Amino acid sequence: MSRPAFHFDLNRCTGCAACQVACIIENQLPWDRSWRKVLDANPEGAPAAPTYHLSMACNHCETAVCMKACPALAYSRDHVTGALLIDADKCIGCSYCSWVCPYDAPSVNHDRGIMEKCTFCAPRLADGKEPACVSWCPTDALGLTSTESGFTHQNVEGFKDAGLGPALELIPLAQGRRRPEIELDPATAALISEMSLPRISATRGISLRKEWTLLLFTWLAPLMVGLFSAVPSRQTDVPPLAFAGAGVLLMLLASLHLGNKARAWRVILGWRGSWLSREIILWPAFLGAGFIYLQWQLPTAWAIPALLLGAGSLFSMDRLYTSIDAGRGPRLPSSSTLLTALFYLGIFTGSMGLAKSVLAAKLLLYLAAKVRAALEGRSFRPGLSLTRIFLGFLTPALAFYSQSPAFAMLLIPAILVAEFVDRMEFYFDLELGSPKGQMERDNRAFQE
Amino acid sequence: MPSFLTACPRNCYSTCTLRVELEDGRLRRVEPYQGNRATPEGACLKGLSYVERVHSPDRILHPLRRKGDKFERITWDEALGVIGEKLLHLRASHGPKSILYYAASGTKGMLKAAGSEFWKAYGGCTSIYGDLCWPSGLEATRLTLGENKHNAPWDLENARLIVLWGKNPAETNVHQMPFIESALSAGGKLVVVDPRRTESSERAGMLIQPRPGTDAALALAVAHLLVRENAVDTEFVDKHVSGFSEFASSLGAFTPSRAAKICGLSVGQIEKLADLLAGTRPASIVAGFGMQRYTNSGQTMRAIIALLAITGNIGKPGAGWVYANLQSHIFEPKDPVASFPPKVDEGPQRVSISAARLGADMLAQKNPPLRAAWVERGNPLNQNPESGTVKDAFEALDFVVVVEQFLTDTARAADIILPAKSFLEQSDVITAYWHPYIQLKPKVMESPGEVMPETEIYRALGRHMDLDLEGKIPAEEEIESYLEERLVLQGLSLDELRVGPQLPPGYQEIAFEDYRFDTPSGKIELLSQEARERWGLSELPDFTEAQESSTSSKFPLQLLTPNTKNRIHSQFGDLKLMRALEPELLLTLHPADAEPRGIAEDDRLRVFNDRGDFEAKARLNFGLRPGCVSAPNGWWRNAGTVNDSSAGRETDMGHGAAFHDNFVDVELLS
Repeated sequence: MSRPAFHFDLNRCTGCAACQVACIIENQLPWDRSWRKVLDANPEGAPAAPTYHLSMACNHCETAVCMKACPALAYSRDHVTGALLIDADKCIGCSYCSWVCPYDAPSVNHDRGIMEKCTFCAPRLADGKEPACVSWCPTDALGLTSTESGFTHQNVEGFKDAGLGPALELIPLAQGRRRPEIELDPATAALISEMSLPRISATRGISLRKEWTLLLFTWLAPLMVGLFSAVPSRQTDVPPLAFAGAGVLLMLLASLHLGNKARAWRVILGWRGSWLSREIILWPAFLGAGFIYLQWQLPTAWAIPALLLGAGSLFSMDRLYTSIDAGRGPRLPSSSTLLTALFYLGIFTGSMGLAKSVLAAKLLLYLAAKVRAALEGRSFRPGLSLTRIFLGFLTPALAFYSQSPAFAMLLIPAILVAEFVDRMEFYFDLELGSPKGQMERDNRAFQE
Repeated sequence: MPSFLTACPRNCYSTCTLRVELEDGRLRRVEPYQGNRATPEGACLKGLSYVERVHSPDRILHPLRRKGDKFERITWDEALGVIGEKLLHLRASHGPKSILYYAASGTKGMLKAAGSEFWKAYGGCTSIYGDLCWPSGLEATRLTLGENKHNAPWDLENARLIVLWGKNPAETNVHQMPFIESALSAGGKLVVVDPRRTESSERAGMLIQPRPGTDAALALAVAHLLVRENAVDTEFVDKHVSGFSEFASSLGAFTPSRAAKICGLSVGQIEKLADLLAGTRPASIVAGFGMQRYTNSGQTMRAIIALLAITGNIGKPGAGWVYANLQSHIFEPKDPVASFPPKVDEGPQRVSISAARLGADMLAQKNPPLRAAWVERGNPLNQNPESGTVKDAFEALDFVVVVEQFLTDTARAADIILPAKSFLEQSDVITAYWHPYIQLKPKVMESPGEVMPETEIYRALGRHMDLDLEGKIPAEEEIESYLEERLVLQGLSLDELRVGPQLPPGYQEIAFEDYRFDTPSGKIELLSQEARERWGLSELPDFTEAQESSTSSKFPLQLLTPNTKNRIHSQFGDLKLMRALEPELLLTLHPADAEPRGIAEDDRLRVFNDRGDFEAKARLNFGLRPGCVSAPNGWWRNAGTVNDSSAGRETDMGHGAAFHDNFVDVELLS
């Protein structure tokens, strides 16, 4: 079906931000918040790199990962324009759509506690007018075309085609006009050549200051599953009420990050496509099945459904994050909740073989990520790394081999702290997709 | 939804035609109008932001009177009573010349004349000569070409070589960029000469970054090479240029290697620019205003125009000197001479204060000294050089009236503030200085609060003071006939203007295509007697170091204070839309200058010299020429006023302001 698409010519854009202002005015947004953003490449003016801009809003992709990820079924597609729209009365403000969007299009409206984004100016399109940003671009850099015009998606400076079929035609910088030839007198040139290259800065991530409850949840959920899994072999004794209470408390804490808590129930609606829905459905199911099993001390076989539900919830939790990482984290991080639960299982059931092999695997994954960070010139956080290795790997190793009761006493707290550190680092390293991040990567490549 | 055609009256190249849409009496949208060939894609972000500006809660809607550090609301009767009494008293005790009438370029329009009519009826005043903006370039152009005009903006598409010399249209004239892009797409070449790597330089083939204030040396070295390599268009020169042989023989001193040393460039770059000018026709040089804000800048501009003259790049499509196009200025004198001080001062109006030296000249007035000031359409406490002295001079007055829309720094220095209209609240006719159109800016909404247009303010004040202003300043209902009378004299009419922008009579799409130059010789004058007689300069373009330069100043860094896209001088910067884009004053500096001072990105800095200082946040950029620092002008005092450091000093010709003859040092704020 033919539908409108944005057209953006990198050669014509001067970064003036009229489109950004146009979006605010047309949609009557607060003066400081636009659904369209102009991104500046090479703001430090590195001589070898081109300076250019991208004007980015929602690209109303053919493959709508945002719509699929939405746990509350708040997204829909307008059949006439193909625009992806968020229903303000359905959105729960979980931000998950903005995490999965490689273009960083949806943004939070803090006043209303919901997500918002470009609507393709649907009312203007219906009036036969161009979207405001297109119509008011003073250099004609931003235009309107149709998905049927036959444009192909390509990687241009700052924009990596994520294969989602964005309704966006990009005209890359013309060859020979990418950047000016600059030459200063030899003394100045020599001076500049000694200067260090600018550092790579902001990429998009999940802020733990705002989302600390998610860290708490994903840190302790594996512990709960691990503890529970040791019950059938009579290795641990878990009081049923405390079990269910702790699980519910964790879930409630995690729901604190929702913009609209009154509608939190909607989170289960998207189970067909959303890993977030699945996680949130499976977790209370695990708690319920576990509670029944514990409360009435049912036969061992009855623990299996609960265990599967717990594992399923953790699997969804892992998938939820790996599906949003824009490339720098491993597919299987050392802090994977499922892997960690397996480790706890080994510890609590006394299956030292299992514990040791999972620990070894986690160590290898952890080290591999550190080596990669070091090679890519990112910080591998030596202090945190040492803490994590000392408490999470050396302490258990010593406990296993020394058989000393003192180490055994220390083992669980040490592991918990170490796992906390690992999980925290996982969030630090998680990079959400964004053209800004891509721009910076490209900028660095130009300079090398 | 009702919509009206109007035009943006700011002091800006683009002077866009706008289609404004109103909703419930409020400005809702600013849509483009394709009928203006220079601005078919619509307004820049500032034009769009009128939606916030016109209805801003910060607008002044009532007369205000100073009370200590604050202002209190008073009635028009009270305000006009106080002002009238004060003015009558001053006229009686010290004479009318004890009042400074300061009007600047904050808005365009024929009705600006109301102020002069009032002060004439009052019996006189003291006023300003010269201009902060562009007069050195205007005068250099007048001396060389006889007139300030250039090809239609859209003709730039036809250029095969464009040299943006000291201009950054991406920020100051964004509507020029599409024409440049068209020329480049058609195979044209772009060279940018600028100490900064700007938005406009990004698609250029070459960026030449001379030491600021040495452009004349660069131009003369290029001329030296053109002459040496026989790249001069001798047929054109023989027919249309006067003084070529004298000019050519003066170029011996400007060898590329000497110029390279002066400018801090490589010889190769100078040769490349000469090669391009020698081998590419047609060529346009698009010159900015920043480059002519030096004490040697008139001569610089003459040297650059000479490059076009000797290569025959005048009077042809795609060729020419694109500086100021005053073809639409049919209601006022086009000649910059009109803004010069009279040779013999007298008459009721004393034209004795240079815009560039405003503070010092105000303090120096005698017989009578200044006692009061009336300011409209201007913000001199920010925008005139050496603003600390300007502030002192205003504080030394007994009484200051400021007509303003917002509480600017100058308004804050007032005793009485009178609320000013927005551009949508009174009809007027405006001209432009880049495109050739004459445009109507109709009244499309009533003023909010108790706001009155200046014409009504003056008329009401006249009634309080028993001044006869009938037939001199039109009443609100007479505005259209007032405009019509003046249009008819030029063969135009309001009805025509209502349809859309109109071209002036005698308009040339290709300036000088008739090869008539309004100079004493009737030719392009490389040698100008008037340059010597009027300005005491060499008859030929030449290069001398600017008064304050890296060789003469004890401060190490040259401060450039350009305009940015987010502001017209000191207007728009206080809007929330703009603050979101540019939250604070940034000082850009090269890492090579930052590192020895221990300055890192985002550090708080003090920028200072012996004239004053201001604070800014550090922004490191490799694109700026080392030895230069750059901070946009126009921020109000609550953020940092760059002009606290600039010198009140005139340019070598035209009575302009040499803002960029300004050396400073920078230190970390602890």
